[in-house]
Amino acid sequence: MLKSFRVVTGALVALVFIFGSAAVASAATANTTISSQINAVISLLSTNGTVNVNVTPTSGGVQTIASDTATVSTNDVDGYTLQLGENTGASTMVSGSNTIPASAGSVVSPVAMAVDTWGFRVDGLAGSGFGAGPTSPQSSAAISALKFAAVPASGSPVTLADTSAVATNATTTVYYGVAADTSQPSGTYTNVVTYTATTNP
Amino acid sequence: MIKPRLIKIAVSTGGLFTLLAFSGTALATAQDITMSPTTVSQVIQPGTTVDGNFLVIDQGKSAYNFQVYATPYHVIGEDYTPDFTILPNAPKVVSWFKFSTAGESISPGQTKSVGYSITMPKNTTPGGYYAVAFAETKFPQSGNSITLNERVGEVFYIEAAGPVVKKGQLLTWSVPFFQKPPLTSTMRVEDSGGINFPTTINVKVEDAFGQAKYTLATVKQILPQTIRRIIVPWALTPSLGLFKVTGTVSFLSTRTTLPTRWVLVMSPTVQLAFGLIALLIILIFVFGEWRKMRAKRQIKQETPRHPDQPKVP
Repeated sequence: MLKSFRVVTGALVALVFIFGSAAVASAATANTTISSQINAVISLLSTNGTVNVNVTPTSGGVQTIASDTATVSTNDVDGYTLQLGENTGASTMVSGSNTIPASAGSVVSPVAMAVDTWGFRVDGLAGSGFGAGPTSPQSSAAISALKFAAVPASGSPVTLADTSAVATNATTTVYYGVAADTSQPSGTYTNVVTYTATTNP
Repeated sequence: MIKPRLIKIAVSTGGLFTLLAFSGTALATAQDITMSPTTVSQVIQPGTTVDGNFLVIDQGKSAYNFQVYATPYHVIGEDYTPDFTILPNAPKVVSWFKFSTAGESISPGQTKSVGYSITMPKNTTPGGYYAVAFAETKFPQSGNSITLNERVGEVFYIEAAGPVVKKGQLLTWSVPFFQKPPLTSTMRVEDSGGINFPTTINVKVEDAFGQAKYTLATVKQILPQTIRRIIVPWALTPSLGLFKVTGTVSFLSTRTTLPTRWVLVMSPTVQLAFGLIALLIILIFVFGEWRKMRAKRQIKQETPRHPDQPKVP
C-alpha cells in the first residue's frame, strides 16, 4: 500500500515537474522589439550651378530668358518650405562699375521687363502676380509681355513652395530674364541668388 | 580608300566625345546637397555646452564646396513663413554655436559629418530659443550668369532649462458648410507661453452614412508668442457629397474635441450642371405656362359670340 502510494506520488511529482518545466519554459519566452529610427533628411538640387542669360542687344532691346529647376526631397512628414532670395544685399547684376538694375516689379506686382533690367518669374506661383504663363526660354528675342519681378533681398525671400507632407523630387521651375538694348555697356554681368530649403515645424 | 574610312571614324568618334563632353558639362554643374537630421530638440542647462553633429551628403554627380553657419530662426505670420533674419533685442542665439568646420569640399557620394557645440550663457532666461544650422553650396561665379547657391537647414529647438510658462489655446476651428473640393478645415492654435509645444491633430471625415473617408493624424509645433493656422485639406475630395467632419486637438496635457461640422461639397462642374438643370426646369415651366395661356386665348377667340350678346363698343 505504502509502495503504491510512493509510486503514485512519484509519478505525480514527475508529471508536475515535466509540465511545470514546460510551463516555466513557455513563460520564459519573450518578445523582441526591433526598432529603427529613420532620420529625417532634406536635399536640394538645382539643374545648374549657374544660369546663363547672355544677350546680344539691339537698339530696340531684346530679352533672354533661361530656366532653372530646383528639386527638393524630404522624408520629413511636415513637408518643406523652399525660398528664393538674393545672396547679398545687392539686387543688381554687376560688371565692374556697370550694373543691370533689377526689375521694378515685385512678386505681388510684377511687370513686363523694361530694357536694361533683369528679374525672375515662376509660372502660377500662389500669391504672386506672375500669372500662369507658360514661359518659354528664349535667346535675344523680342521682349515678351510676361511679367517679371526683382529677386527679393536675402532678409525677405519669396516662398516658392510650401508643403505639408513627404516630398520626392518635387520640382519648381524658376525663369530668369535679362533685357538689354545697345545702351547697356558690354561686359560680364553676374549676380548670386540662394535657394533655401528647410523642413516645416 | 582608307582615308575616307579614317575620316568617318574620326568624325564619329569626335562626335561621340563631343556629346559626352557636353553631357558631362551639363551634369557637372548640378549640385545636390543633402542634410540630416532636419530638426533637433535640445534641453540645455544655462552655463553648459552641448555637442552634436549633422551630416552633409553629396548625392549628386559633381563635387562642390559648401560652407556651414548658423542663423536665427523665427516665423512670420500665421502661415509660419520661415525667417532667418536677426531680430532687434532678441538673444543672439547664433553666437552660441561653434562648428567643427566653416566649410569644406565634398565629392559625389561622400558624406561629411559636421560637429557643433552650443554653449548657453549662464544668465539665459528659461524658455525656447531657435536657430538654423545651414550647409550652403558655394558655386564659383562665371561670366554673364546668375550663380545659384543652395542651402539646406537643420532647425534647432533649444530649451533653456528652468521654470517656463507653458500656455496655449485653440482659437478657432473653421469648416464652412458649402465648399468646393478639396474639403478643407482650418484651425488656429496660439502659444502664449515661453516655449514651443507639439500639437497633436486628429481629423476625420465621414460620409452621410458614417463611413470614414479620410483621416489625418499629425503633430505640429507651435512656437512661443505665435498663432499658427493649420489647414487640413482632403486632397481626394469627390465632386459631390455631404460629409461630417470631426476631430480632436491635443496639446499641453489638454485634449479638445472639435465640434462636429457638416459640409456640402460641390465642384464648379457639378454646380454648373445643377444650374443648367434648374434653368431647364424653369424654362419648361415657363414654356408650359405660355402654352396654357396661348391655348386659353385660342379658345376665347374661337368661341362664337351669342346673337343676343351686345357688341362691345
